[in-house]
Amino acid sequence: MTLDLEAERALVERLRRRDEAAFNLFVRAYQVKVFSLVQRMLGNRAEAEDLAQEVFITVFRSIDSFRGDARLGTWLYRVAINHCKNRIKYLDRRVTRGHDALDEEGGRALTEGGPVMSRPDRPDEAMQGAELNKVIERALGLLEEEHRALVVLRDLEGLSYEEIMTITGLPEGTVKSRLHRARAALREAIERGLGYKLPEQ
Amino acid sequence: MLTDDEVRDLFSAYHDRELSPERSEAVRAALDASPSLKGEYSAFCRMLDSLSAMAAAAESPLAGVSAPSGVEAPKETVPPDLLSGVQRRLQKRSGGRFYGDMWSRLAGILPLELIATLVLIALVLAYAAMTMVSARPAPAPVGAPPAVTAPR
Repeated sequence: MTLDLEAERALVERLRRRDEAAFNLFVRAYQVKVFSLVQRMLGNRAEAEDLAQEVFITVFRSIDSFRGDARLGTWLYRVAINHCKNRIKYLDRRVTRGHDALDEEGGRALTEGGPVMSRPDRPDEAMQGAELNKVIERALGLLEEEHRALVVLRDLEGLSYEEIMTITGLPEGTVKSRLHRARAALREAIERGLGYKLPEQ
Repeated sequence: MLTDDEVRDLFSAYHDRELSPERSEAVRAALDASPSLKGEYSAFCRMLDSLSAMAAAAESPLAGVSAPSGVEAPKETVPPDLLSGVQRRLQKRSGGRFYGDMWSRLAGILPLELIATLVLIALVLAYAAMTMVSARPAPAPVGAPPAVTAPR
């Protein structure tokens, strides 16, 4: 659901008055986007459920700091990405070892070039839908948080460079060069996970 | 003429059509001149296509519907209790200042159409009950003597 500019302004005014009905509407309008972004950034559903709620609570509390020079949805992405970065750092500090045996095993397999799943006889068989998605998801989880954010925003959420600049606060040249490095790192991680080079066709 | 490494560094920008026409033409020429480089670029595009496909699957209207075998159901299905969870936290952290009453929480969770229908049904039932009460014969006043039929 995308609100037009007028509807968005009216909604923001009501949010500033802490209108509960307007906030209900706001959450329902943006919950898919927020949850999808957070889930992709964290790669863990339980954490994503918790963090998505915190994102909306932050909006409820700090809507007064929304100046209106970007769209509400873009600002919301910024809040969500900042929450994700903080949560990833927190989890990295807390977890480091043995938090999720399965995930860690998968991650190690990817970083060490070991098998993530039974290796297919023909590489193109592994390129089919669900299997490839699993490898991509694991590979995404191995990217540095800055790189992961750029790939998620650009290639999964489909945002423009301009929107990404607003969300991350990075200049255009930095967004482009980091995105390039992020995609290259992702490709390497995927190929390590698959155990072979991505096929051309 | 660009070197292979320079071309690789431009894969992203070339794919996103972010290069100047001259630069874009130089990359195209380099790809045409080198089958192996062209193959690398195809693999790069394939990876981005897979990402787009993942994103599209998650946004599909069928998201959340059980998928046929071999097709992975999107993971990004929003938990049904996300809004109620936010409301509970806000209520707790604000000491009941927000979402303190059941109605404000229910209004966000149930669709407005359903609430309107429920209210309408309640009004109809109330009206019907009132009509039945008013149509019933009035009871005899308490303490009045019973009617006596005069003897013939």
